[in-house]
Amino acid sequence: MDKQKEVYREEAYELLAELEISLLELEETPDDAEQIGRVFGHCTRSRDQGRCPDLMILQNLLTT
Amino acid sequence: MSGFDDIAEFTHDIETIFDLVRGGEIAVTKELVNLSLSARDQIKVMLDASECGKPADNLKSKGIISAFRELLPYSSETSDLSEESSEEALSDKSKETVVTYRIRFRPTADIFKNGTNPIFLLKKIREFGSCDIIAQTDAVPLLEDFSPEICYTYWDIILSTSEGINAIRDVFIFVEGDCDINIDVIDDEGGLEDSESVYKRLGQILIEHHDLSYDDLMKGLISQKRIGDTLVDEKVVDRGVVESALAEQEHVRQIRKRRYETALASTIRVPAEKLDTLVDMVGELVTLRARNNHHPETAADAGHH
Repeated sequence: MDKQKEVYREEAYELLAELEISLLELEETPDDAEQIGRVFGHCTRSRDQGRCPDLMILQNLLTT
Repeated sequence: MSGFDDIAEFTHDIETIFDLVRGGEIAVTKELVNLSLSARDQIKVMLDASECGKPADNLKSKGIISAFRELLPYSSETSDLSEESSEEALSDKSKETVVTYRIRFRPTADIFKNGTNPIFLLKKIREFGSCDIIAQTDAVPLLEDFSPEICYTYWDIILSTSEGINAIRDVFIFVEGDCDINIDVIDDEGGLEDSESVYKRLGQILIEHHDLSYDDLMKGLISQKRIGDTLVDEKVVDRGVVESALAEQEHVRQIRKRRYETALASTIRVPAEKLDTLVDMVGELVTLRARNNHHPETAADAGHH
């Protein structure tokens, strides 16, 4: 489980770096729908990432 | 919990805002971008904290979330907040544990002389929850021997409440020297016995076996004296004490029945095949999520709708 958490943590750091770049670009082009969609996508992924380890735990619980 | 739930919750609010931005309901402003960058920093802090096993600064997270919620249209904000508060209320409610106490409140004979009215104390106790109070009046003398300055009565109280024993004791705090108080727990939520869980009675079994007719059983029951009546007739106990014991029996039976019914309503049996299906579905969900991560924009649309 700790290894899984570590993987998710690494993914999350990468995601945050991408989010920062997208936000800075959005500041330059506030009407860019594609850029807004990208920021939204990062938020969704970040939220899913936070919740997903629980799914793994649930799966382990149900199968053991 | 995995330790990432706080991040998921935190990000959910930012996601909601950007969903509204996508829908054209909120404009991208410098304030929104700065706030989002602060949120990004806070998520990093939360991630770092989860690595060290230390909690992140919750106040800062709450401050950022509040600032985001101020950007929400009025209706969305209030519905989010009310949802939160009702969840809190529900969780507080579920934490309450109802315990049933038997309280014997026996004032000294001269309790009236210092101006105490025991009825007020009983009324206060009644406010705590479901309550049966039985006055024990067997010591009340005939009128010629009666003195209005003497308290001849004592009370048995059966109380089911989520208030603790200290709250009950507090009611009697000013009369502690003028009465005997015994408080016993007679039922708590530890057990989940069905009120009807006592196995069939003898008469019921004999009728089911066709060894006895219903009429014969009734005749036998009518001629049979109840233990309470027998004890009172033999002057072993007073009638009031028997009534108190019967009230206690009935009170606890009702409380257990209610608890059993509540437990039944909140528990379900699930066939093993359905659980297997659930395991498969969760597995699919994990796989899909991993696949979707490689296509964020498509995943965002699919995930949100």
